[in-house]
Amino acid sequence: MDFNHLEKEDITKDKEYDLRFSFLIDEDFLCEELKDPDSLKWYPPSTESDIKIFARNWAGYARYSSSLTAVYGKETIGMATLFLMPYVKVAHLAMMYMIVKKKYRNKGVGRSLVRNINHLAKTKFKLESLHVELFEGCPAEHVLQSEGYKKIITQENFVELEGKMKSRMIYEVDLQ
Amino acid sequence: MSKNIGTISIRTLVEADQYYLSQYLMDPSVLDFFPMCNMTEVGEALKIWLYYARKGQAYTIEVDHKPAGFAILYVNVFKKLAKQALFAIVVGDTYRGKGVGTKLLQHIIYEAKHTYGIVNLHLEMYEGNPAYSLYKRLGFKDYGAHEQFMREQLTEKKKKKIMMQMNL
Repeated sequence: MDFNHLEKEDITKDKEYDLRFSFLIDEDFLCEELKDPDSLKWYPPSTESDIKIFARNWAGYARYSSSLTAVYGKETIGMATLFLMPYVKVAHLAMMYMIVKKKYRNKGVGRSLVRNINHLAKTKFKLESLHVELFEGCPAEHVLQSEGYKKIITQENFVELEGKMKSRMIYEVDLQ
Repeated sequence: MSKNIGTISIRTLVEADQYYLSQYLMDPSVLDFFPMCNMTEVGEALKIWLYYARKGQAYTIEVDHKPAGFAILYVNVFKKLAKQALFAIVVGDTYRGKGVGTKLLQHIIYEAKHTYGIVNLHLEMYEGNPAYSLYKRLGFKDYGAHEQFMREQLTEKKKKKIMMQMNL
C-alpha cells in the first residue's frame, strides 16, 4: 500500500533537517512531548512520574549509540531508539520505539527516522529483525507498514485507553 | 498428574531463596527455554525477580519446607497497562511432573485475579518447552508466535517465542 499521500509536506529535504545520535539530555524532549495527552495515549506511561521513569529508560539507550534524534534547525523534533536486548540468545533482534513532535507529524520525519534506525540496526548492530509494539489505533502504523513492517501478533485486552480495553499489535521488519 | 510428594506451601519469594532460584535457572533443561545463557545473565535476571519479590509479586512454592519452584508476576506500574500481566515460572528438576507447577500456576492465577485485578494474564515461552501442555490444561490459549526469537547457543538454531494468554 502507498501511504505517501498522507504526508502533505516533506521537511526532511530541507537543509535545516538533520539526524544525530541521541544524547541523554534528550530525555527532556521525551518528557515534554509525552506531556501532550494526544502523544501520551500511544505510550505505556499515564502519569507525570510514569513519564519520567519511561523517558529516562528510553533516553538511556543513548549510552549505547542505539538511538537517533531528528532536529530541525535547533529544535529537537523526533527520536527513534533501538531497545537492545540484554541477553546473548536474543541479541539478534531489538524492539524499536519512535516519537515525532506533534507539529512535525506527516512531514516525512517518522519515515526518515524509521529508515535510518533500520539502517543503524542492520549495519552497526548487525540485527536481523526489529519489532515495534503499537496500541490499537496508533497513527504510526501506516509509516511502519510503508517501510516494510508487517503485523505479526495482535493481543486483545492489553491496554486501557479512554476506559476501553484495546489491543497491542506487534509489527516486525526483517533486516536480512 | 498430582502425586503425594509431601507438604506443599506457597509464600512470597524472599532474598534467601536466591540460592535455589539461581540453581533452578542455571539448570540446562531450564536454560534451554529461557533467554539467559550464563551465570552473569542469570544474575541480571535474579535482580528482576528480587525487585518483584520486594513488591510481593514473586512466589516460592515449597515441598516439605524446601523451595521446589518459583513464579514471578510482572504487574505493570503504568496504570493503563495494569489490567494485564506477564508471568513466568520455574520448577526444580526433581519436582517436575508431580503437580508442583500446577499448584504454582493456580496460585499465580488467583493472585493475578484477586490481588491485582488482572483481566489478561499472559506468558511467553519458547518452542519445545514441556510446560506448554500444563498451560493448555489450565486454560491458556495461544494468541501469537514470534518466529526466530531466540537463538540456541550451540546449534545456532532459532526458536520461536510462543505467546499464550488467559482471560480472567
